[in-house]
Parts: sequence; structure tokens; C-alpha cells
Amino acid sequence: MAEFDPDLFESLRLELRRGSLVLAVLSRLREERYGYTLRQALSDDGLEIEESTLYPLLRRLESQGLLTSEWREEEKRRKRFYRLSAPGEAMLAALTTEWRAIGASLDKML
Amino acid sequence: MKGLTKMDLIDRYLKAVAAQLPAEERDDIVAELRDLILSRFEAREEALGRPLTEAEQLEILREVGHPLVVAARYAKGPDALVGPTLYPWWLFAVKAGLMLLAAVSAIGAVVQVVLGEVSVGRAIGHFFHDVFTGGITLIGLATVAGFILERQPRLPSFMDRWRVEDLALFEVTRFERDAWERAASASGKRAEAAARDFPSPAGAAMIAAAWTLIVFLWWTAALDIGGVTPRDLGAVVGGIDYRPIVVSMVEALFWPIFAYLLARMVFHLARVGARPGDPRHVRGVAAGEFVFAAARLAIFAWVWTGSALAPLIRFEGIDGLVIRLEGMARGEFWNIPGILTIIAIAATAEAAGSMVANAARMLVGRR
Repeated sequence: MAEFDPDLFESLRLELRRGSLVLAVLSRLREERYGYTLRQALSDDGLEIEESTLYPLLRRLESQGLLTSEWREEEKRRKRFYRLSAPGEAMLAALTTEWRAIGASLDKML
Repeated sequence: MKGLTKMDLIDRYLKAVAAQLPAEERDDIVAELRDLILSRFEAREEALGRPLTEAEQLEILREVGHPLVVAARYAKGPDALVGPTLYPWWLFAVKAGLMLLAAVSAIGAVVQVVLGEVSVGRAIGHFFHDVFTGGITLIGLATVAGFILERQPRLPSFMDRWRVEDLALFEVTRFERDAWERAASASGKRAEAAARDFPSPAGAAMIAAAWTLIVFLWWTAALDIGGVTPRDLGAVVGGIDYRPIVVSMVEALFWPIFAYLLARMVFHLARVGARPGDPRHVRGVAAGEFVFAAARLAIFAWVWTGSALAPLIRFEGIDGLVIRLEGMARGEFWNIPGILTIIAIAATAEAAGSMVANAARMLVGRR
């Protein structure tokens, strides 16, 4: 039996987290935010996400119609604000149900 | 990098990112990244209570990521040449192709040595050279094919609509002992059934297409089999120089055979996805085979009457044939015109027989 492999743990942990990021991003965008403050909001809730992951993810979710965005001036700079769209709300609700079901199943097993 | 202002640094970074981005989104993405980077600079400055040094600014840009990687995250298409779904297919194609290539090159090397054209040492050298250069080309072509397939909206149907009957094909790349033993010990009902079912119809069609491809490549001189091209097949035997005959025939038949082999390859590939038991499929295959047999018959009609070989193989009535074959029976085994006559008769009969058999299959819809 090999010893506990921290590198393997890290890669499995990232894999486990990956699916939950969409859910976290959607839920934090019930309130309008721009990328930098969104990242901080997620980080404050204990979910660190790299910019290089977050920004393309936002763009993808927008192209899928789950988010809307608009450029606005704030603090003397133009910023892109994102917010959950109506289809995004519905998707978030469906994904939340799914997430809870997965959690309940795993709770029974773990 | 000394003397660069904060804005110079960011501009230089963003230009590198922008160069990798699609034109229609470039400005939008760059503007957003600029805001992100500035926000991070400001947050760090606020935390430190002083302006950042150039090293600290660079450190933040490094955290954001290398421009190539950052831009790649915005790419819409797949981010792999050949993705994980396609990769096993790619690997199989490369393995099977390399095995086929090695087999063909080995045959070429043996032919060269047998013909006395090269020494064994040189033949081995040629073999490795052929396998290496051919292998690189093969892997390149497989990767191009994979790259294109990876970017299609859906996978080709043979990847998800496969049948268990066809899976024997995928055992050809197994080089383990038990696979060979199983193939060798064809005893017992299961082994017999396995032998009968191998190759499956789809597998047989793919193998046939592969062999046709090899012949096609050889015919068009794209594939070098031991340095022997179709034109080189002639020799002086028994006082007759066959070389000009072969050259004139190859020249006359180049395009007909080119078209025939190409059509045959397409035909084999079209059979791969079809259901063997289906009467429509049986009729379709029979119709195709009928046309191919008719084409062969036409070619042989020309060989008998119009080709440079015609005067050599023609005989006058049954008596003439008997006289010709008698000579061979007496031991003139290297009576080339006699051998060619027999081959031409057999091939013509095969083409005519195939036409009749496939006409019958078209009528009854069964094999």
C-alpha cells in the first residue's frame, strides 16, 4: 500500500470541485457583480477560483444564455457587470435540486 | 524591462493575449482583462499602502497566467488535437496502421532479397527506413483525421452504434500469447464459431478496403514496395522480352485500374456500416459486385483481343489450348505464355461467374 499521495489528492480535489463552480458562480450572480468582486465574494465564502478559470466561465455562461452582462462605468473605470438571467434562474434551481440529491446520496454512503 | 510604467507593462501583456484571441471578441475580452489586472494592482497597493514595484507588478501578471494559456481558456472549440473520446480510436488506427506498414515493408524487403536486387543488410536498412518514414506520415495523417473529427458537431456513427459481431477486428492489434493460441487452436465449437465469425462482415470490409488501398497506392506509385512498380514486373523469359508488353499494358490500363481500385475502396468502406442480414444490403452489395465483375470482364476482353499480350495468350479453338497445355504437362513449367493463358482464362471465368452469381443474389436478396 503506497503512502497518501498529496499530488493525486490535489488533482482529484480539483476534479471534484470543478462541477460545483458553475453552481457557485450562478448563485453569487443573483446579485449583479463584475468579475473582480465576484471572485472576492466567492473567496469570502471559502471558494477560491482563479481568474483564468472564472472569466472564461462567465463568458461561456453568458453565451449559453444563463447570464446577462453590461459594460458600465464605476470607480472611474468601465467594468463589465454580470447578472443571472431568467433562464439562469431556472437552471440554478434545477442544478440546486440535483446538487442536494447528490449530497443526500453521498451522505448515506460516506 | 527597466523603466516600464505600469500601463506599458499591462499593455504589453494584453497585446500578447490579444494576438491569440478571435477578432470578434478581442476588444471585449482585453477590456475585461485590463480591468481585472488594474483591480488586482489596486488591491495589492491598498494592502501594502504604497505603489507596487515592477517586480511585484510582474508577479501579479504571472499569477494571472501566461498570455497563451489565458487566451486559450477563451477558445470555444475543443482544446485538444484529439480528445479523450477519440483518442482510443486514434491509438488503434495508428497501431493497426503501423502493423500493416511493417508487414508490407517486410514483404517488400523479402521480395527484394529474393529477386537478388539488394543484400540482406541493405534490405533490413530499407525496411527500417520505410517503417520509420511511413510511420511518421501515418501518425501525421491519423492526427489530421482526428483533428478534423474532433471538431465535428457529433461523432461518426460507427463510434457509438457498434455491434458486438464487429469487435473481433479490434483484436488484431493484440500481440499477446493467448490471443495467438486461441487463434491457433481452432478446436471445439466455440473456437470454430469464433473462426467462422472472424472477420465479421464489417471487419472484412475494412480489411478489404485496407488491402485495396495498398494495391491502389502501389499502382499509383505512391507506395514503394521493395522498389518494384507495376512497370517493373516484366522480364526476359524463354527468349521473349515481356518488359515492353508490361509497360504498354500498364500504360493502357493505368486510368481504368485507377478508377476501378478507387471505386472498389469506396465500395468496401460503404459496406462497413451496413447491416449484413438486410435484403436491401445484400442486393446493394450484389449490384456493386456485379458492376465490378462486369468491369473486370471488360478489362479481360481487352486483354484477350486488343492488348499487347493478346497475340501471346490467344489460342485457336480447344485443340490449340490442348497443345499449349500439353507442353506444360511435359514439364515445360516455365512456359510463360501457357501460364498466362491459364491465368487469363481463370480470371475471365471468375469475372463471368461473379456476374452470374451476383445477378442471382440481386434477384433473391440472399447471399
